[in-house]
Amino acid sequence: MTIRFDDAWQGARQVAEEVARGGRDVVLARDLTGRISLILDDRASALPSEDQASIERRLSAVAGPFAAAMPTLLASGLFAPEVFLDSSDLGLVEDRRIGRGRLRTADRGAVGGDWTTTPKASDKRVTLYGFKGGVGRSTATFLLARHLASEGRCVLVVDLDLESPGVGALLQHEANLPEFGLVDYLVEAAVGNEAGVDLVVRSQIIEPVGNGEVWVAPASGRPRRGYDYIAKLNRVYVDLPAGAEGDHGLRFADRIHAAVEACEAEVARRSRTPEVVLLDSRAGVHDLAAVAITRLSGYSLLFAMDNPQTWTGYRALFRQWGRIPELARTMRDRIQMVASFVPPGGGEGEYLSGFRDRAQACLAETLYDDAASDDPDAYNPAPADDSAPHAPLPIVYTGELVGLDHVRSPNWYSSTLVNAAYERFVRGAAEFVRGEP
Amino acid sequence: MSSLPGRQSAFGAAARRHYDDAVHLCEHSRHASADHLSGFAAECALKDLLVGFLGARVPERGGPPQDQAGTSYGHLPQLWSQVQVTAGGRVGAQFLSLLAGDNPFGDWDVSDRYADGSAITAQRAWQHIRAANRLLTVQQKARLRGAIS
Repeated sequence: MTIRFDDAWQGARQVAEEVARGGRDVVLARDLTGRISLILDDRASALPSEDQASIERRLSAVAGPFAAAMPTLLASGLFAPEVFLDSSDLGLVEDRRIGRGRLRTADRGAVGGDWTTTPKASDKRVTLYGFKGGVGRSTATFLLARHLASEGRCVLVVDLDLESPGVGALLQHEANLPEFGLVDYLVEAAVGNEAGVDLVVRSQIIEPVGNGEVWVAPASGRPRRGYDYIAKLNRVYVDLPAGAEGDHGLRFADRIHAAVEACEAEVARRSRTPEVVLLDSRAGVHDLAAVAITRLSGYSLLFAMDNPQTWTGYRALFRQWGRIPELARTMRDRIQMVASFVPPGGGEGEYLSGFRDRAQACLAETLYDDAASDDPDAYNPAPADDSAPHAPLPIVYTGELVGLDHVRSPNWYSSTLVNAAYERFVRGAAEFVRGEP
Repeated sequence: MSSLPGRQSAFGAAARRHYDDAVHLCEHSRHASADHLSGFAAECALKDLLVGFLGARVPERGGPPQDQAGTSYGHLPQLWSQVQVTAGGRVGAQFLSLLAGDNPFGDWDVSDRYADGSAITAQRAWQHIRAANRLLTVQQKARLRGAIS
């Protein structure tokens, strides 16, 4: 039987689990071409060569053409093994227990590594993400920012949808956008020239009564002669290699993190520390979304329309987290589904009920614990559980927003219909942001 | 960010030195030692990739890790596989063309320095020198790309 990519990994994982169960720490690695090898930690206890040969034979058999040329590597023979084995980009599958070793994975892709890195999130940051575009995300970001500011909060909105920016223009008139945007910060910081790049501006469109403020960090600076957005965008995804002594390089994720921190620091300097930071993420399985959801934000609002392609997409995304139990537990506490666009009137109940069932099925299959588990602490909420991440915050469809030109209709957000459509989302998301769902 | 060489890039300079010496010895029919140095040249180039591009770090105490007691030397042929399992992301992808093929140092062993060398043929020594040359070319291109990006 031909061994395909997925079969090879599953088989290799079983071999790795068996070795770990025998008490040895292992790292199961899959390189850029998909070839698999198992790193055996022999530093504390030597591994007899016949045992290594036996593991190698089993691994080669299950991985077939996806077995690496050296299917097993000994940690004692690695260059600077502590650096490789203590690296934060390894995914923990099973931790050490009495008599059992630790199993971790190192899955190397050309892109996508940030979906499974250990979260280093800040609870004040919230990502708004849709697997597919056109789900009302930027409008929702605008209205949520306005609501939070009306409660007296200082809110910063960062437009991380660099390929199709939008929320910046919703929050500020074009002529009053800051001189620079996120792409400017990223290219200037790459050559150490980021000082003086002011990239946030206080919204003059949302001006709440009271103490609240809305600040925006747009993707692009103010359009002007000689301002080349695309040339900068084409350079933002690079990882910077290590350079001079003490400089270990900066990965794309670190660079985005630094840019968001720079936005927060600028708001703090010019007014006060933002209490909530909304990250308007780009759609799809993209590294920018990965960084926003897993690296930057404490919570994520996941927008979806109830159709098969959306659930297939979310299932694939959640499965990546689900493969690493610790990450699955972390991420399911940090996400909340948003149902857009709910048909108004009589069809609403039926749509939401179907959405909820399919969201629950998607999460039960990927991030929730096994329903059959006898562990009393197992987390597997029923479809009807209103506090579960699958219980959606609804956004109702409204024709008012179709083809809306917010410049020609500057008071679009005051419309009763628009506010009614987003009301339950805004209320629920605000509770979610405050940590009181 | 500058890509000017720091202490960590001593691996790059060492790779070049071992390579030049390997070529010199091979041209004078000193094949066993040439073969040995070609492996060291490849090891240094691979360590430069690990430290310069793939997140490995030279310990703070100073000097490459092989100078320090209790740390691993990281020799071929396993070192080649270590680069394969470490290379990831956009930076790592540039080394794919080099590492996707077979390990040309699969038959090279650091402990051959204790052997009498009679088994090392000119053909084998030149093969390893050519493989080391390919590695050095990749390493230098990566450095250049880093310096101008």
